[in-house]
Amino acid sequence: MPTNLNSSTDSTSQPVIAPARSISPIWFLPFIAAVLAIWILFQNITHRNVQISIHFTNADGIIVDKTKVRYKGVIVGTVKKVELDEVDGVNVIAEIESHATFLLKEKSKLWLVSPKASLTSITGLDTLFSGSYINILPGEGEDATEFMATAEQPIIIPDNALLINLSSTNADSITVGTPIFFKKIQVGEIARVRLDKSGKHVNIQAFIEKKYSSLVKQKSKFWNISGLNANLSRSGVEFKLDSLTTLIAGGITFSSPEGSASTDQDKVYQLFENIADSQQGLSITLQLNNTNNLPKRAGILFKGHGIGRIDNIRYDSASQLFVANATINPAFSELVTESAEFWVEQAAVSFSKIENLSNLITGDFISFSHGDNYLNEKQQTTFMVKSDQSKETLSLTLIADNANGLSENAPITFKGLTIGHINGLTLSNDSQHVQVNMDIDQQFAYLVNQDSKFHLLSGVNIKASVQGVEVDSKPIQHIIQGGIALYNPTPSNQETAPLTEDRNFYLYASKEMAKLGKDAFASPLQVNLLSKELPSVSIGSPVYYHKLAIGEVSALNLHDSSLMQTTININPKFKHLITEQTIFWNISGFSVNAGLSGIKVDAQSLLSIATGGIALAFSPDATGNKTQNGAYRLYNSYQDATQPLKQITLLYDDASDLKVGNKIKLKGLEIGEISALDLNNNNQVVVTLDIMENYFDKVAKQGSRFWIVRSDISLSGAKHLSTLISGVFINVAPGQGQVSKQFVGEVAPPTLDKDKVGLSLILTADNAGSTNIGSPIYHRKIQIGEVTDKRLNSNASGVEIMINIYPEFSHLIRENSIFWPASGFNLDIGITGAALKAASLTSLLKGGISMSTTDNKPLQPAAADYSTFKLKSGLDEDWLDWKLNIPN
Amino acid sequence: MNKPLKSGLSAIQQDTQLCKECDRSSTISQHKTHCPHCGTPISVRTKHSIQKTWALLCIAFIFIFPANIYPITFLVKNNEAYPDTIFSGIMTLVSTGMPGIALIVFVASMLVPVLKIIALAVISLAAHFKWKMNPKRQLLAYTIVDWIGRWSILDLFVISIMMAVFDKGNLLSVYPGIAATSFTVVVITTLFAAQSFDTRLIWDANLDAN
Repeated sequence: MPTNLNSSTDSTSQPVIAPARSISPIWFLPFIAAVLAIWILFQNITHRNVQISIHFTNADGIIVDKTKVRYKGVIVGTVKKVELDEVDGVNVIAEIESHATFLLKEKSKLWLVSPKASLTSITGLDTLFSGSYINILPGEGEDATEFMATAEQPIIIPDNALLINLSSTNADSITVGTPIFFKKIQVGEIARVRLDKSGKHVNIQAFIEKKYSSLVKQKSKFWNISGLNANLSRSGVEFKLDSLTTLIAGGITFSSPEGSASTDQDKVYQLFENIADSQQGLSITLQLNNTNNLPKRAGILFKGHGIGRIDNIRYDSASQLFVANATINPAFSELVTESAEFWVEQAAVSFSKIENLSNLITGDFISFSHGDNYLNEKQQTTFMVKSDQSKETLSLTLIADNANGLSENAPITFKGLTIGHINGLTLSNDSQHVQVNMDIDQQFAYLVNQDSKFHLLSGVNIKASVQGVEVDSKPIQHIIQGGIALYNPTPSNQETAPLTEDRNFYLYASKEMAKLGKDAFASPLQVNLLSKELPSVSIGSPVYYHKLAIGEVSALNLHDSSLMQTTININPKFKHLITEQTIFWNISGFSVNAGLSGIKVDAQSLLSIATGGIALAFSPDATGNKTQNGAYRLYNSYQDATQPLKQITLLYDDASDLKVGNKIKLKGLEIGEISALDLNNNNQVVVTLDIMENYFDKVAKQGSRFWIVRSDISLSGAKHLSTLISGVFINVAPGQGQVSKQFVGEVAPPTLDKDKVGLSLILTADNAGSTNIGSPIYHRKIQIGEVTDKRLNSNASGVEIMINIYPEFSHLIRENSIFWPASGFNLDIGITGAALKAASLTSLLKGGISMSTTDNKPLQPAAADYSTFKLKSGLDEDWLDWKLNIPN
Repeated sequence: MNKPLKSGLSAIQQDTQLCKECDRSSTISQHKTHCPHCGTPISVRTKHSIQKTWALLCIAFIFIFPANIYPITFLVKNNEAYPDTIFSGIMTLVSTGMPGIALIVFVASMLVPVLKIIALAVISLAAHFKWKMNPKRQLLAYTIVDWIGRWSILDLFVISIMMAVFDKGNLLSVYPGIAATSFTVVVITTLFAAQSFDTRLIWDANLDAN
């Protein structure tokens, strides 16, 4: 081309430009491309994919070109073809990428991973979406391209994991893959479970992850925590569940004792069935007389805590004993020394107690107690099992009248605390008494001293009275079994005589008797009582002292003095109660006092209602309690015996409404009643009043006034309505004069103004209007007093109304106060209509007087007693507006 | 100044050169390196034109193989990557009943790059070895290659859109493969190869051959 150019130019002077045969730098690019291409080609040749054939039993879930081959989650190949094997199953042809060909060794394992959901795990969940894949686990050996697929995922033992060998009698819930826990953290897995050649043991191979391998020590113990561990024990059924995983998949855990050397590969560990089995305790031998109800693997309990168990029991014909091998928890092994005791705890079912009831079902167990000084004692491994715990006790003998309420094993209590029990009941040698043999626990023996007393714990104490029924019951155990209580009359801080060897105690019927009791078993004291008529008692009726039965009625006779004689026997323990001051009264039956005021039932006790009874008490000032012949008087009631009533007579012209039994009241207080109504020679009614002794002095004085209070119903109100039902009563206003027993009775109450209470004023008016005696006096609608009297004035030109202002309001009445009638109502009729004004409904009915004081003037002095005011005829509205401050 | 050009002769023979920028001719002068009209650098024939074309064609030729053999996209679906070559994509389209689209893809992604390379190679060879061919046909072929070349980038455009749209991580996403890069190289190199080819050489070859 350039030559052509040259040829076409005619200018020879032009330098000839040689054609530039240079190579363009653009060629550098294809060169790089070529290098790249060669490199890729080289890569392709050297890293050729390898085709392998995997034999599966079926090709479920395998899709050509989709199913991958994976190793540790990395896709290393793809299934390219699935072909039927000529003999059985399918051959899956997969292409393994070149970089993963090292996985393809003779012992490499391939298996299909498909989604699997079981109770313990969900695996291959990713394959739900991505489809199944073939996993590859590299093995050893020569390169290979043909493989047999394994059915299940092989256990992958992590690198450097510690392999341990366990031996077990059975493979109970242990399978390949069962986790091994340490403190509930999974540290390993069971890799292999094989029956050993003899067929007696199961050899289990497990691995512990490397980082936890140091936990396995020479003295480590392995036990099964598989599944649900139901432990039927005395305390019930105990379910122990380690974790839900172990419930389903089982599990093994192990201990890692500190200080123990780390394990070596060859050690074979025993796999225990449970943690209890794994405890290697102290082996002891127990000898038993019999094995009644002692179950296999009976527990050994120490204060209720299981410290071991019997492993096996055999009969030793030489010693004719059962020999039990037992294991004691190592933690308690130091307690098992020479002085340790073992005994069988049996179920005890009695009325008083139910003990170890569970033993009926679970069988008995063995209890254990250690000696006090076990630290310094030698360990012993052979023991005789006793039938009961031996205790050091203090044996005492009680003498009782009878064995009522006593039974063997009944408790001895002190302040409610059981300190011993009754060991046996025997008759005394003379067959007169019952001997009670008691065992007091050694630790409480100090409570019993020479002064100690024992009494029966009675069951239920029912007190029925008008107030209700009071049931006082001891614990139900005592009700059923009875029991004995210890009572120490001497305070514990005082010196007491030490217990002597042959001291015999008496059994008292109750604590009260024990307190009082002396000479419990001496002959009774006979006391004769005399009364006008026989009390409604019968032989055997009780005699009470403060409701405590201390004796009984022994005979009922006619005395020479034509009085009735009741003979009572007093329990010798209570002899001292019969003194010169003793008074007796009849508490037989019950008295019903039925009146208009209600029914009053007076009963002493249920027993006395049924059988009658006699009560006694001390009365220091008792004088007439004995008759001349030395016998005691039997009063009808306590009142009779202690406070004879005193009498006052009233004279009445007319005794209408009065009845025997009507009450006498002093300021509302009942102080007596009418005991008789009689006519005297003057045709006057003589009313005899029984006045209670303590009020007698107050009312039996000159100046006392007695009047009949009856119901009073009028328009202005009703008073003493209760008397309509309960009858009238006689009110007393005590006087202050000399002692007097005879008075003139009054029919109407005496006028109050004589009482000199409050401020008395006189209002003058033209007429009395609707004012009545008792009408209220109002100030600002508050009652401050009342009308006491109204009468015509001396020349009958008007009326005088006596009013009484209550003391607390008397200062309200000033010299310039004004009064007007508040009674009734005001009817104002005007152009605007009619206005009806009523002060209040009360004043409408009862009438009344209002008062007020003007505030226009300074405060005037208070009104003097008996000042006279004019009662205004009407109301000025202005008065209502007055607001005078009246200081008190 | 401009004398009328005769037909049947090349512009060089008539001492004229064409400015490629403003399409105006000017006389060839030794020292004239710029178009007197517009000032654009001007030459009688583009330097190393054929060499450039050949070099770029070589690259395209090398890269068209990985572009068709290796996967052009990876479709990640449910944590699983599904590679797709251009051809497997076309086959998928065919198998899913879209032969029309398959044809378009086939033409645009496989046929056109190959034909482009072949066409350019033939034109370049003809220009180099002064084969006697119809220059008008060669020019037509060149024009077609030049025009259609830009449309080959469509594939990459689609891939880039898919990458942007299907971006749901492991659930569903699209990644480009090695073939995408290779294909890009093919497209770009053929574009530049076509660009760097001086069409005037077609005529030179013809005139020389005559």
